[in-house]
Amino acid sequence: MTENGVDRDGDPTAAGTTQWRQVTQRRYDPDRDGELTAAILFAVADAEGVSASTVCAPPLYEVVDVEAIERVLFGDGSQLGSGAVSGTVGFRYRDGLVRVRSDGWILVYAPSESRS
Amino acid sequence: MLQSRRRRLAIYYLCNHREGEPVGVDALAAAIAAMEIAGKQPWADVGTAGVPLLSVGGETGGRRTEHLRISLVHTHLPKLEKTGIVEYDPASGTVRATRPPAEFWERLRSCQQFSAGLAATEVE
Repeated sequence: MTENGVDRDGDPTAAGTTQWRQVTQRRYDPDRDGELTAAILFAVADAEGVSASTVCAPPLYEVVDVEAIERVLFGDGSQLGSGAVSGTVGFRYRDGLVRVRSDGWILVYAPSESRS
Repeated sequence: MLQSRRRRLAIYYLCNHREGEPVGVDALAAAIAAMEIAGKQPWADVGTAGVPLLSVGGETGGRRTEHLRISLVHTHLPKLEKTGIVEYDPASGTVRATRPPAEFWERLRSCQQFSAGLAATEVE
């Protein structure tokens, strides 16, 4: 995932000249979503305007280890939103940018049409 | 790898009830959803016979099955495939266990005995 290189802050999601605009957001709810994987896929599908079942490629696992993200940010689930861990994990997926926050919010961005 | 209950259920279903035969991802998702709702514990039920529920109905069951299918395709099946426990073909949407049930459970029992030995507890 180095097509844009790494910018001065070392954040690959902010590298290059791509401007991002937020398209959708979804709060991760373990009771409703089951696992973080499904919550992310639903958010991405919503952003792309398609059914989640049709989002197959690439498998999310080839991009990030979602279970590792889930463990780091949310622990065993009981810590979700507790504030014990703070931070955001961002990654490029398909043509978009996904950010998962420790408060449970999943934000999906699309490349912006305009550039400064 | 085996920390995930869903992966354990997937392995259990593929080994015990499909005996290495390919199964569609949709059917696997439905079977795991049914076992989750039934509260099945694959470790405790090792070796027991019985026909599992193959699907669950209702809005809750349908949603769980859909979420499971997504998790299987994007997380669990790629992870299981990587370790060689299953063969997953995304093109055809089918998956099957690569080891015969007896060999798998024997290896698992060896792992359990080893772990138990370390913990100084007994394993049946």
